[in-house]
Amino acid sequence: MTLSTSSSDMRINHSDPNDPRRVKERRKIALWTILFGGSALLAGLLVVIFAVSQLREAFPNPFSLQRIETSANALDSALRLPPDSDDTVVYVFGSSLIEFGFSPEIFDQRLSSKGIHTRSYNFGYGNADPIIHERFARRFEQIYKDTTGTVDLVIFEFSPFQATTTRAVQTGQLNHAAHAILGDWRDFIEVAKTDHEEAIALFNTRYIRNGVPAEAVTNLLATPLRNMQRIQSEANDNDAEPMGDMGWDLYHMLMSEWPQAHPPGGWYVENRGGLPPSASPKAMALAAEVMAKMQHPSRMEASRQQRLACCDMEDLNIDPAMLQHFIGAIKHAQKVAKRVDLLLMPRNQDIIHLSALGKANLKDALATIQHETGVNLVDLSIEPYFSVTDFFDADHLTLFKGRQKLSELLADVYAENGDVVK
Amino acid sequence: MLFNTPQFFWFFAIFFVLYNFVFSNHKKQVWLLLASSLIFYGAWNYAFIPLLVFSALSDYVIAGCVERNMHDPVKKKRWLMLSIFINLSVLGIFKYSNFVLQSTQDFVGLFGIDAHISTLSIILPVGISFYTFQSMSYTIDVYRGDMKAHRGFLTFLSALSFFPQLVAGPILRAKHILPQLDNLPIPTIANIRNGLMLIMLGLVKKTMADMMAGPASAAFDSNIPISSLDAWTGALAFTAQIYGDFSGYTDIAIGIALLIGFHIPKNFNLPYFSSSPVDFWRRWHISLSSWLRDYLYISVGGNRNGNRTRNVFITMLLGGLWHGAAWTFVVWGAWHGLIISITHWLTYSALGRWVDTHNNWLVRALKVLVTFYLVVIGWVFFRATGFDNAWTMLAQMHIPSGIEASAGSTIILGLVVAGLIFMHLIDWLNIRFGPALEQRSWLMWPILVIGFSLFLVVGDPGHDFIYFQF
Repeated sequence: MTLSTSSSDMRINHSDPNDPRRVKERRKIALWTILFGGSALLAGLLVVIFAVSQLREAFPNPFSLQRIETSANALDSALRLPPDSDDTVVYVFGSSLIEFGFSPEIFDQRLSSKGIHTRSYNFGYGNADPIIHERFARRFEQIYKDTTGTVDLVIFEFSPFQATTTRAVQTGQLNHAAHAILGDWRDFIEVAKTDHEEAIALFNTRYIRNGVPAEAVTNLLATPLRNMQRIQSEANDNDAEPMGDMGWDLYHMLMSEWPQAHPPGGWYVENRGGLPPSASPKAMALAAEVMAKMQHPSRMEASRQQRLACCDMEDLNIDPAMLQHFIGAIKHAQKVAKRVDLLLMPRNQDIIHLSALGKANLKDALATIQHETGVNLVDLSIEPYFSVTDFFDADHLTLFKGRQKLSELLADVYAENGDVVK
Repeated sequence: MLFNTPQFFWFFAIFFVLYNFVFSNHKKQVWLLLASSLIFYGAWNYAFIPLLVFSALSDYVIAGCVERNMHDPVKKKRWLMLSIFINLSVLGIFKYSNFVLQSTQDFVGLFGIDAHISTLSIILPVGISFYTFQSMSYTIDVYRGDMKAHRGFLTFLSALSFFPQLVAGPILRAKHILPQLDNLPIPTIANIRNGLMLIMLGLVKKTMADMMAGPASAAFDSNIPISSLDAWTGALAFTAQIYGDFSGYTDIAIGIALLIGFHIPKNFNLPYFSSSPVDFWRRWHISLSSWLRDYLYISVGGNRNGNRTRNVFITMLLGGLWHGAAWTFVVWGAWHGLIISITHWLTYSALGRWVDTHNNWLVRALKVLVTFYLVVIGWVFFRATGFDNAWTMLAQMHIPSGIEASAGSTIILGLVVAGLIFMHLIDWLNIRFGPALEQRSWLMWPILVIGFSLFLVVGDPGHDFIYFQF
């Protein structure tokens, strides 16, 4: 097919828009446009799919997506682990409070010392709101529906601040990515009924961008700048002794001691989803030093303010829709697990002071969850056993001391109740 | 519906097939163009379609009345005044009413009067500033005898709502677009290649602009003092962001129009290479600056009667206000009015004459740098959330705060400057080598693939274009 590069074909009457030869010429050019432009776009798309998958392989956790993705994938691998037939299989679902605050090994050992044999798994992940929990739990249901009863107990941690109205409006890039990673095209069609733009974006992130939202890439420049501002701000704050690179030193030291925890930020099979329970004395000493600095009152207050701003952490005005999503998550888990319990993690009571309204809202939310799902509540939120020295910020337990105390206490609670049964 | 979203891709794909393969009759094609434009506009808010139609209808009718009264200067002027009144009223109600109410409240507050004036719940229709200016200029052109009133409301409405440029320009003149709609030109292969290239360049620039948004926001929205280096980084990042965002949008608009055979004049011409503020406005948002020149500056007197400085100020103040209903935009306009006036004055001073006689590369580079600096200062007002924010940024940029910048800050600044240069470089390459590339069309395909890939990897579909708010 030969084409003129101009439409100055002398046979065409350009002053008559309805000249049939113009119509033919227009169609010819349009066809060429589709072939030329479409092929370029398609080739570009293939390059993107290839490039993003290479990026994810080279940098597994560049956008904090690794944990949630590997946790979801681990649901399947955990199923395939050969469990001791006498062990009670316990899955602990929840937020980053669980991810960093619960050790399956310590929990199992503690129960084992009391004659109860369990095999527990940590499925906590950060940036989780109840919608993501519901997606995750539905995936759990989908994977386990043919082997119902494999899991004897699911302990589902409820972070009330993740379900507040304030938190509900903050749907950042990680939420988007989490939805994309955990969902599939059927979920996106559901989303399209109310928000077709988000549905298309989810489809792109899931199937074209390998779970990496574009915003995460475009924000690459801003993130280091904001980190630098934070460090500068800290340097200007004479009240708190600067941390410098201590945090990074600890991170690198632990990573060198924990080869099983590679790539960083993922779900580690060897430790059944939790971080390794211990480290060398040198690393433990450095960790204690880092945690002590993080517990400085000004840093704790900054952390509290951040939680108040993002999540209404003291008044806890619960978003009804978010609460329903959490209830939905529990119901999904209940379909395949023998039993589901609700867990409230210890609250950093020296820092986070629930208001009267907050207490009432929490009480209502818990009552609603229990009423609609019938779950038992394991409430460790006002446990006096924990103090500010067990937390590295407003709500997360410290890597070693806090985590050990929580894992042991939770084991003690279940041992005392005597209801961890196969 | 944003150009950089999959929704627009499918919208345009369907339109393109229907326009070229299904609707072969001229009238049907115009109908399709109109319907598509209204769907495109309605994707933001269907409630504002009647307003768009009203703007078009009023100027269509009034221009006809103006033409019928060409023999009677008084009557035709009255009709023109009616058109201006209607268009400015639409703008005033939808864009400026809350600004006026708030400013009134603030003003009387200066005298200790606590006037609680409730602001109105008015949503700003997307692109209102663009289409009211376009509509108004049509009536003015007919009034001045520059063009005949158009016969055919369908075509006129299609011109005003032409979707590639509806929401963020360039501001088209009726005499430019109407003949094209009457004829529905067939694109050439060269048009298609250029169109695709411009779309790709626009998407890449938009992507770069979105990357600049982070550092700009980190500086402008910081609630802690920042170093001078970070303040400059933020200001330069916004300088790059607004150029990439707006010129990227324009490139896509021109490219899309070319794919269906329409020619839209260019809106940018390497503006940050300008050698003076006057030169800047010949290169930045050309369709607006030429509109302001032809319909405002000349109307208020232009260069006549020795009132040039006053007229420049009026034009630039209103130009600033056109961008947004906020005093920071007014100050931005006033700033440009000031630096343009100083440029005019300097041109005829001894310094200006010296520069003219020593116009070597060093002097030219210096002029470009000084102009760029002045433009960046203006952008601080444009981006700032208020005067406090603007002063803080300017102070941090110019007065050492004692806060030390880290080594990383320099890297970010380097990346921002690189981004700024990159955006101009690809524009320059397109201008310099675009025609040569047409002779080597085999090179275009891989360039398009690389560009589209870059956009798809890094680009964030759905980031609003800054100029949509105007």
